[in-house]
Amino acid sequence: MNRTESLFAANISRRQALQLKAIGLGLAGLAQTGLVSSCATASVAIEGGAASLKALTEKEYAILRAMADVIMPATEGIPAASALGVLAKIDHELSLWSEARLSQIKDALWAFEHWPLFKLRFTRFTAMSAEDKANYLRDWAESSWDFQRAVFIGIKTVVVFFTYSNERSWAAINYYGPWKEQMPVAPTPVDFGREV
Amino acid sequence: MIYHGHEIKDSLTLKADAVVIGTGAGGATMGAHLAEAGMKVVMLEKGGWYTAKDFSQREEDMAAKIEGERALLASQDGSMAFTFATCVGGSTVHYWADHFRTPGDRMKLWETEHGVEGMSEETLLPHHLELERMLNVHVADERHTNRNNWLIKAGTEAMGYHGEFVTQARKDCIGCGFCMMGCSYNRKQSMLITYVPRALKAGADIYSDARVDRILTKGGRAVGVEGAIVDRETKKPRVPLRIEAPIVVLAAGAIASPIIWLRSRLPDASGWAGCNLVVNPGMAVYGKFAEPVNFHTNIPTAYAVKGFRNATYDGSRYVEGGYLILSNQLHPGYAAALSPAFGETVHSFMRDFNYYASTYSVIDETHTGQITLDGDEPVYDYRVRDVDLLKSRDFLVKSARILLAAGAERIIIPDNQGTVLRDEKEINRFEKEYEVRPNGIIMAGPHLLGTLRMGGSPKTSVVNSQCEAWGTKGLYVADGSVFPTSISVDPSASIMARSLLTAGGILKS
Repeated sequence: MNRTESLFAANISRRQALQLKAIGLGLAGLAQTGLVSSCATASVAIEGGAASLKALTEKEYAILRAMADVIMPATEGIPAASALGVLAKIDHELSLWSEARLSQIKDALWAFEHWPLFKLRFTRFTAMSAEDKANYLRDWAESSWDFQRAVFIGIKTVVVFFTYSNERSWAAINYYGPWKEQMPVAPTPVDFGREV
Repeated sequence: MIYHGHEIKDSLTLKADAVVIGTGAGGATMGAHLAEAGMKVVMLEKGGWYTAKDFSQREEDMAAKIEGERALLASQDGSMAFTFATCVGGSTVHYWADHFRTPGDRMKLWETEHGVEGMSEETLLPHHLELERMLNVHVADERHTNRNNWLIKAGTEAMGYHGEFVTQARKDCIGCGFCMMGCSYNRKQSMLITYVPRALKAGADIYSDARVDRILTKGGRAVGVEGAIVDRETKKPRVPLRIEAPIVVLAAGAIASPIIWLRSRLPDASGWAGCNLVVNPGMAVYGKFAEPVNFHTNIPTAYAVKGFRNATYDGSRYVEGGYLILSNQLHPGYAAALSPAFGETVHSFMRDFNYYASTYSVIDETHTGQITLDGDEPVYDYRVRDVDLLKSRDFLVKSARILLAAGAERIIIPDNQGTVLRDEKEINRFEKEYEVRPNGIIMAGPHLLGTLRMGGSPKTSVVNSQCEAWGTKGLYVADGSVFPTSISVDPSASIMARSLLTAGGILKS
């Protein structure tokens, strides 16, 4: 039985992608009116500098970072996701995706950031207070719209995985880590013949 | 001989009697048997070649090395994560080594509903016996039963449900509990240390990092494959490969095999190639106990609840069942991935990591998905729906009752809202009111089957009862793709046994 869980379930259906494109066109129209210009995503400091980004743009990184730190804030013995190097790991994983899959994630981040505009709130996720960010994320998590739940669960899954697979988190949960580093046991010999 | 593909610098062109695509449960057994019969066999594996020394027991590292698509593949609506391994030895490298013979009721179903001939308990028996001898299959003993399994057994018996200890493919297991990350001690009897060495000893050549893009045909016959040696991390092509062989065995798994099939534009009068994707949806339930359970130690599923394997109906109305309840095992990264809600709720959940007993489902789904191509890009459609949502809820309810009966202080459903159940009254309300929603609780599909199904007619199946393509002579399928429906248990032994049956047919012909 294999029971490993795939980490990132936020692929988006073609229908949902089309909906996002429509949203994009709508927001582009709003931007023409000047209403959105004050809602542009601000850049944030990037671990390793902006040049180190492999898949995400600086703005996409800022959105993901804000999401990650709401999903995994600092707690006793564990720093926030952004301080654990989680963002760089996700960026690396995304850099190995096909263009088509990557563009879906980018669309999802963009929609998450700008969705408040459709509730006539002229703000964006990254500009919200900490409390509002948590409430906003909860709205997506428990939404009746499948797409919003998909974005939540996909981003959450990968952020929490990279947080708790990091050994800096293990002491806080009394996890001992790899046995083989503490109690070496020789593997049973296997004859694979000649390797080239 | 085994060739580290990522170190090959020049294009690769070879001739063989048979080329086997994939080295997992189907490919390794097939390759070994054909090579032992004297055929010149070339086996191609898209993933890397890793052995015990490479299995670091670190989740991140092993997800990148052995998991298919680095554990990042999901259905296009995001609701179903697909779990499989891509490395020499295939998914048996990360499986839990629980070993189930193919249920007789399924083979009867495939015979009566799908016209499959020559596959029965009787015809598979010698192959299951070979496997059980080769893989040292035995029932889990007390030494290898952790507290999680004992608690689930106690709760199951208290509820009057039917459970059993599970047969295991292990030898001298030390009980470390890191099975899912590849066995660092060569005790789990995966293909990597059993049939792969057998194939090599018999003279087969194995190339890792070798991706097949297309099956070559001429005059209605398979004549070989072409593809590329790929970079181990990026999977981008480095140098081309071409293998000419009159026998081609497609054993890349139920995700990759139909993609190769579709990209090759092979004839398929049925239109079923890529359809009928079975995954056996998996979900977790946790019970928090007062004393440590340490469910991440020792073997994962020593004990399973088997009494609900087949769903029961009252006429057309679903009553209960349609799943196995397994004892679960997760290390912190994956446990967090299967946690409730977000933020401090996850941290609080993880602080009790050592205090959980946990179950995991194998939902025997009625509704299947499909894999298609959009240009060259695969599109994966899968969504749990209709009666399968009811089965999922019933699994959550039965698991909650088992864990509560075993003494859990509270039950945690790892959904987006963070549902917690504290007593029977709350479970009863949950049973009546709870709605399982795709993307509302994380689900993963670990048993990928059905996408090149076998059957008795080219109008309704892709391969015949010998698993040879109806429209392409000399092309065989030897992986989970061939099964017409869910097997309802871990499919590893069924895939191996079916592959051995198919190998016998190839050698006879």
